[in-house]
Amino acid sequence: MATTLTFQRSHDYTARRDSGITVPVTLTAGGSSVRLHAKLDTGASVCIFERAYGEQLGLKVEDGRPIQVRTANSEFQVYGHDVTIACFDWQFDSFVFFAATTEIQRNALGRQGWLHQFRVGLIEYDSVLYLSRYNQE
Amino acid sequence: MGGRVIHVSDLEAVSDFASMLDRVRAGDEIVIEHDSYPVAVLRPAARGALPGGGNGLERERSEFRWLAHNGQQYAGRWVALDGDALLAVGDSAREVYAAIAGYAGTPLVTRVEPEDEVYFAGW
Repeated sequence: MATTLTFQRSHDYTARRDSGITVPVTLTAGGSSVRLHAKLDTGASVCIFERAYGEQLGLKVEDGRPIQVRTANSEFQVYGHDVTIACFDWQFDSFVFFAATTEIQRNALGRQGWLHQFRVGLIEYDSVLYLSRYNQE
Repeated sequence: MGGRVIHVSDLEAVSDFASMLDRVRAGDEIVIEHDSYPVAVLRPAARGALPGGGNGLERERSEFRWLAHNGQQYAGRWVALDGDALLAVGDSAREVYAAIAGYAGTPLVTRVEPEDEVYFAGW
């Protein structure tokens, strides 16, 4: 059976398509904000950001909730913190993780903390991402 | 559709400019090219002044465009952008944040991935 979905916003990520499905986001914590480009990652359980952004927000990264995250062939340490994420016209509170080491140079928008907030459509061939909040038409 | 960047040749733009304007009114951006080199860009007029520079969505689009057109000059390095204004370049995020300390706005700070970087296979 055919299904029709409608979305409130489309986002063309052509300019950074070589490095992934790139989404501009703003993180805010404690009155400080950082703007960055993150990659939509449906394979990531959580949102992970580079350590430098946490530091710039004034967070003591190691004071957050520590967890190990695993990749296909390794693991690394991250620390969880409460932040507010702004993305396009939307803003919401979230719990995200910052890498313990600066060697992790990747920002991932994963399922908990970001994807759970949205309905998502994707036409990778055209580099277009469609988004609505999960509870909006 | 809106929100897309569409590349057309200068001949195509001249032959059907009305159609180009319709696309811009719908929110698309048109890059007019001659021999695959961009010579002009048509984009929707900004709806308001950007904070510390303008409309946030337009600012983000400007940054995407800037990275597409200029990014490879800074491949592998970190840049701070506010719209299409390059504020700082450095070898790390910390270095860039130090360079823009005291800047009134909230610039985009990002690493420019080199085009020839090894493919990322996911975590």
